Amino acid sequence: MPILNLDEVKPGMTLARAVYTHPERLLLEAGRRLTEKHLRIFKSWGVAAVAVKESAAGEGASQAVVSPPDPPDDALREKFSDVLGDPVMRAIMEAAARQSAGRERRRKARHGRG
Amino acid sequence: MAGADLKRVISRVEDLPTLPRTVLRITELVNDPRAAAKDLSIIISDDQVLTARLLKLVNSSFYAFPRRVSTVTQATVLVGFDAIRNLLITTSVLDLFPARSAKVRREQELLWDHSLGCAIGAKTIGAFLRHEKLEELFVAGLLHDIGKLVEMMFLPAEFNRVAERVRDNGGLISAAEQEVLGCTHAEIGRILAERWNLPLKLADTIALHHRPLEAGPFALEASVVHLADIFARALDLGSGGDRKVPPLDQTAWGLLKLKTSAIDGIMAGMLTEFDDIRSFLG
Repeated sequence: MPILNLDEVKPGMTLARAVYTHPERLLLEAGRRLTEKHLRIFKSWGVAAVAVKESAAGEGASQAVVSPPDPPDDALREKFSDVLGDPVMRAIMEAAARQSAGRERRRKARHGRG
Repeated sequence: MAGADLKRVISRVEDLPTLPRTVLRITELVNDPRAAAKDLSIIISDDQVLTARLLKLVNSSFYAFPRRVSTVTQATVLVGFDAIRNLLITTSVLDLFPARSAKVRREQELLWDHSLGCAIGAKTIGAFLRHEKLEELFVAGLLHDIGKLVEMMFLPAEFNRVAERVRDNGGLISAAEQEVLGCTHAEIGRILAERWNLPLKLADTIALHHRPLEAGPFALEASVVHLADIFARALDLGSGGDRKVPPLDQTAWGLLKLKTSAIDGIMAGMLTEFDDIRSFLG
């Protein structure tokens, strides 16, 4: 179940987990097929990322899910060098490498367009 | 920390700045259950700078309201008391610390970005945990390293020695602070928080963000900030003054009941919001 940034979510994807604006306030339940209007509402509520289903989610999803692996670079490894005995810290380092690389790709794509 | 060291530091930072009167009045008002949006907007409207900032914030993409908000009363009703108090504490804090030189200014900017990253991290983790007071977590994250800012401004010689040690030995800043000052930024942060009459929860979260379980009733909030600090460093959002990530407190991680599979989503949310919010707080 990938969790995607709102700007990577495309209409036609299916919501894997419900979206809440507040602990008790449901915005959209899990299993709904997302539309353009849903995405606009998410944005207006400040929703940053949502979980979408991996299968049968339309072609937008399969594009977004297949991203190259991003191994941590030397600087990041050095930062974590004293704490890698902890499996949670290792997971944090690997997630940080993936997310930083994704942000860099989005930046480049924006500059490429503009 | 040895008592003598703390006393020495306190005597040096005795002339710490105080929060602007308007912010103190607003803090009191927010704590008063009978206060109305109108009371708050009267105080804010008195202060042109605060008014401009508030309207800029509510019209930014951070809130993404469909229509333009043009009055303070509208803004107060839309955003809520707590959010406004937190905005004002946030923006007032930076004003209090004018940078002396270009080098210090650069260090302050990096620290500010780190603090903002931690604030957004704390809010994002809080949202994931369905915590009820996200704005409170945001401010706690934003102020968690305020002691470092105090060191930069009021103990510049000591802070330079701390920075040198970090550069030469490559360790964590807390260890260098302990050697040079006999105390850490967390403890200095508490002195400032108490001087500003900030709520006990906030003072404890600032003082104990490296030892969150000692925060007793506020252990959950301190644990959120503890983890958000690690996430912000991992994502290279600004710099806390060293090039290492502090170890994760295992009990704090257990308390948060997070799965490692949640980390990517939280970090993705952090990066989006950081890039978005930086433009208007910067």
